[in-house]
Amino acid sequence: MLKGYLLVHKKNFVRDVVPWVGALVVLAFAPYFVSASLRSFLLFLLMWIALSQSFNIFTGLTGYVNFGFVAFYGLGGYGMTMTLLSLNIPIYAAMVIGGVISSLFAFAISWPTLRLRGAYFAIAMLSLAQALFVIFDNWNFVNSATGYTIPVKYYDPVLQYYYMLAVAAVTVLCLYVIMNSRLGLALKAIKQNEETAVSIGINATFYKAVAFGISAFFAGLAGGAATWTITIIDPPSAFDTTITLTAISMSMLGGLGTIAGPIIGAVILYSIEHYFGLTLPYLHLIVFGIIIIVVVLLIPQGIMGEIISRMKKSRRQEVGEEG
Amino acid sequence: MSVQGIDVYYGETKVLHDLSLKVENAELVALLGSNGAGKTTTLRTLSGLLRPAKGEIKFDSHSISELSANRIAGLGISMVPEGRGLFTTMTVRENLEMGAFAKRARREMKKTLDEVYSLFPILKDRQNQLAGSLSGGEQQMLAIGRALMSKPKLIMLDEPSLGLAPIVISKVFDALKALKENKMTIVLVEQNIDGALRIADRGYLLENGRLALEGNPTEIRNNEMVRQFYLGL
Repeated sequence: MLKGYLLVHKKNFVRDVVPWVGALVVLAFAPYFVSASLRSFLLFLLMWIALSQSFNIFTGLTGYVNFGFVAFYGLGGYGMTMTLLSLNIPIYAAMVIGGVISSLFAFAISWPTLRLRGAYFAIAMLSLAQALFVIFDNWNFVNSATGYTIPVKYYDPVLQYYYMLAVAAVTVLCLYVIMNSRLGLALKAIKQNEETAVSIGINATFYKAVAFGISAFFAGLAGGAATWTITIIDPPSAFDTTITLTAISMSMLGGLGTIAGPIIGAVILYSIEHYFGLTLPYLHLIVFGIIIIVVVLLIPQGIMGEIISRMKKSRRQEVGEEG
Repeated sequence: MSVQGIDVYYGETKVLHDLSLKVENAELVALLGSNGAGKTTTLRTLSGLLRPAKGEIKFDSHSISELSANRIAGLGISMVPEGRGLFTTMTVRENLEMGAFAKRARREMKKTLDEVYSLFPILKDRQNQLAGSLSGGEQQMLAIGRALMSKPKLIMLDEPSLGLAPIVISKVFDALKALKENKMTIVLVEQNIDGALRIADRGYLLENGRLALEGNPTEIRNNEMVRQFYLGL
């Protein structure tokens, strides 16, 4: 059932699964061994992994660059905070509600925005995120510019770490499942040639909207977990375009459309931001910029994209020689 | 398939005027005309990528003029677009498997794949190569093969001979002839009027978005205007 329906191709289970489980186990035990500051570093690294990966779920698989990605993060953060404060429910439930709100927003805007392509889609999404900022900044229902503070009673750094680990792990797992499903196959065709995909019988509008909604859900979860950790949310922090740009940079550097890529990108760029950001404040942005320029010029498919295409090439040559 | 009096616009410009045509089962119909006559527009309308402002398109007694392109493909109409529309960074085999995306087609994928390979043996030899690395003729065969993978009832081809050497064109046309003999319904859009008339059962000639002439190949070939302007005789 699973193989025929959900997973289209057979996979090498040992090679594909063991390293991931290993990494998960190490990260799960890390809080027992590492200092509080390293744990906090890992927590935000996991947040960036979750964010760049949920960005990847839509942009990496469809090729539509979502410049309004931060909207999903911000809505998830607001959704989590407001339900937590007004309903007095467990944090994980509030986070899921935040993710669902973000996802519903994605479905609602998918109809007008996903008809646009290329730069038009990017600009439309960028303006939408900016519009959300202005609306939230002036809307009393969401406490306008003041925003919200998470009460001290919810403070629990170790639990926050585990929640973020869970969000990152589920996001990566979800990407894996999508890439090996009919949805992934459809998105692959859409990314390469949307018109042909449609003429093969692929309902492009539907599959794009589904990927958009899933991407928004996980970005919303990460936004909720991040807000809990940061303890405050207001419009400038929730709808900060830098978050979109960082997610784009991380997944581009590592390789859009691959599973390991955005993780590698997040590790490299967040480490740079963390260490240079303290020693050479703002100069780390120059380092960011240089890395992006080098990636675009030398390895436009990103680190993992380059590795995968080289592996495929050598495999094809072997097959060719045998035949 | 029958088309009744369709008008199609690009923005404000009317490009198809009251066009009607009919395609019977297991028939090869050629849609002929020069550049800008409206051939490609007609195919794009039939496959649902454009919508007629007026008129009706029927397929297997369904009205399809209001359906989306992917629904029309699901009913069994498969298009081979101009320029072939291949997934160039996927292998030949991946392109063919993608053609069988629909659940119904996926169940019979292995069998259909063998049929396509026996129609175009070169594709089997090249199955692990990237589609973008094939020659023009091989790419055209792959595009036709991919269309067949969806188990269509009708396939529509947009200028399959474009940019190919004469010997390759005759190979592609031979394959279409073989498909027709296997009861496939085919709509063939061509500027290569002479070649298309050799394999077609009937033809329609378009001029400036209007139907100029219709008939069997002999009738079209013997028409004075066609001889003078299209065949250069």
